[in-house]
Amino acid sequence: MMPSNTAQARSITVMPVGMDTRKLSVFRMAFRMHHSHQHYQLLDEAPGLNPDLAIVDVDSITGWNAWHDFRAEHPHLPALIVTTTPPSDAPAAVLRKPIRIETLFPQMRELLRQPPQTSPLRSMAEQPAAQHPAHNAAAPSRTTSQADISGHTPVSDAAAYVASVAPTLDAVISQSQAAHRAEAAARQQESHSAATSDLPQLMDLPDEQPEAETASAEDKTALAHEHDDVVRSMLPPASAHHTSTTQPAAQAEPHIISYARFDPHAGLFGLVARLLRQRSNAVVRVREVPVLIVQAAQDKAWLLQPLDSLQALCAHTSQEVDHQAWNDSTVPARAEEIRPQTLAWQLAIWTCQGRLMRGISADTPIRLRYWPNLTRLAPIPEAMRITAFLTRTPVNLKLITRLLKVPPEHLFNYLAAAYGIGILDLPNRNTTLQVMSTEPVRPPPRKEAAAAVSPADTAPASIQTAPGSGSLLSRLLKKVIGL
Amino acid sequence: MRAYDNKIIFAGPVGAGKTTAIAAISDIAPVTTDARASDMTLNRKDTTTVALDYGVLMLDEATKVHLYGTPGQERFDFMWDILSHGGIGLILLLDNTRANPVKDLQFFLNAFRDMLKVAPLVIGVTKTDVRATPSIETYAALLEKFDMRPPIFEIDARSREDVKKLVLALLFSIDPGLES
Repeated sequence: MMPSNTAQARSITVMPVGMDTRKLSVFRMAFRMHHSHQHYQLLDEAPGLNPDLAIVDVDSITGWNAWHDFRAEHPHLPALIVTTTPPSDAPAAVLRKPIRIETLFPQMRELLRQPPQTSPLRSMAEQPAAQHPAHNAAAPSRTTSQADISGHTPVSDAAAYVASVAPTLDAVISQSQAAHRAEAAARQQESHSAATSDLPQLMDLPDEQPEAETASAEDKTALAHEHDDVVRSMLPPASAHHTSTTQPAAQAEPHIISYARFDPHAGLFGLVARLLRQRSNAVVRVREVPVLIVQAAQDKAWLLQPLDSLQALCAHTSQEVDHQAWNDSTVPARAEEIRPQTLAWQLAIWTCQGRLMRGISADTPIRLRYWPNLTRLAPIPEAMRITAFLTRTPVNLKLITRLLKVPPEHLFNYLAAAYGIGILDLPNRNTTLQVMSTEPVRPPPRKEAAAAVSPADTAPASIQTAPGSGSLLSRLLKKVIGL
Repeated sequence: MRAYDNKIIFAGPVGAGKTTAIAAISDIAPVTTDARASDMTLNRKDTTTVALDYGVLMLDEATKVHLYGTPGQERFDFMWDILSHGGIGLILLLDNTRANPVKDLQFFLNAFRDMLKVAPLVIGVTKTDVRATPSIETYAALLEKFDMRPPIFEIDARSREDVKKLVLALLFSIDPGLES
């Protein structure tokens, strides 16, 4: 869409929504300081002109209602959502706060370049509200796994993600380079000692196989949890062979382990996670039976069904799940209150069942925004260790498994749970499935691991154990665990 | 490389649970220097720590890790530097029922800023059953804005399991790959 005010062809008029005067002044200042052939101005500076685009802040006291009201009033106006917590299924392009000049203007230009008819933003905006939970929670919106994936894919997650990790981009690059070097070293080591080494290794492996090829893989793997899981061969077809994680790792040649996947947008868990992210209030139903009340804006939730029923529902992501807006202040007497974070964390564990979330590959940089409240959440083995690592710097599965030697099912459960409570930072894009070539085993022989893969090549310097102090800390760890 | 004194520091405002937390995990009956409160502290509890609390984790016959609780009142802040020097890490306890626990957080981060340049921080928020806000997520989001991502948990200072988790988080913050 091109600017409509042809009299000022170089002026783009931006309509701010959901912003107080302080935020407006920040944008005003940014626009004034922006020196390029393209001039931007806020709508209040150009009375009488039509806005070319809008920037909607959904972090104000009205939350996502700012977006709903805006979209109802301006169904076709290109819009950029700004928020500190971008939802995975945002109804429009999202810019994560803190907003950076270097991403704000490119994003606005990109928004204006979108063709009116083919723009994903436009087509999403023009969907009936009932198909778009983020637009209007008043109408029930049927959700199924595939519909969620196709209809709610954010158009600018990559840009938002890049903006969010920009300060640590160098660290990501360094990590990747270090991982690459470590991998080369590991392969070299492996070629020398493949017959005796049982150290976990990771390999770059081919992209996911087409669905048609998956069925045969499913038949051969012991990891198939559900008929709709994606369990794939990780070897080129000519040399593919399959094994389960239950097989011993020590073999003459590194063998391949396949991991089942699950869709974090589907089913009960997917819906609850989305409602929390959008801070929506809704009754969640499964086959039209109310099971939960989520009052995300007030940080509350209620169980309408026993926990074991919810656990059973989580096991089947193909269930028909929907939600209805809930603005009633009266909670049913039989409802049991539960904290939303506790709920989402638990649903994630029940849904994940040791499977890897779709959207994460072996190379996907992963980072936690902050520590989960581990004293009040359902325990996941190794959660403390994983959290400590992932809050430091973006790392990928290869580094995590190599350095922490965490069993993958625990790691995958943890990632799903972290995603559920909204603290997982990762690009929401279709990624290739890449897995570990041998099963990680804990506890690792740290000296052997160090000999096989130089820590200098792989580990961030900050996490290398201090010589001389490791003994004290290790003994203290043992002591505290045993308390 | 850092040289550690074998000590963990528990800090926080009056009534946050430092003495109780140390008692929850110490191998000895904690040595306390409580005295009858005579100032504003009296509004919160009858006695308060005037010098320090002391507990021990015995790793073996020869090796101890000392647990020091700093006095909560600001007039004893001269002791904080002395106690914190060389510590393995800082466990900061916040009392969620105080008037402005976020301000307490800022105060103690500033007070221990020298230690925190070289040692990890873990935060335990107590009495959340009495007052739920600020939530853990609120604290965490606030710290995230300053690019700080310390472990921050709701705890009951009387619970050994909760206090254990604080110490474990401290250790894994130093080295996520640490093995026992």
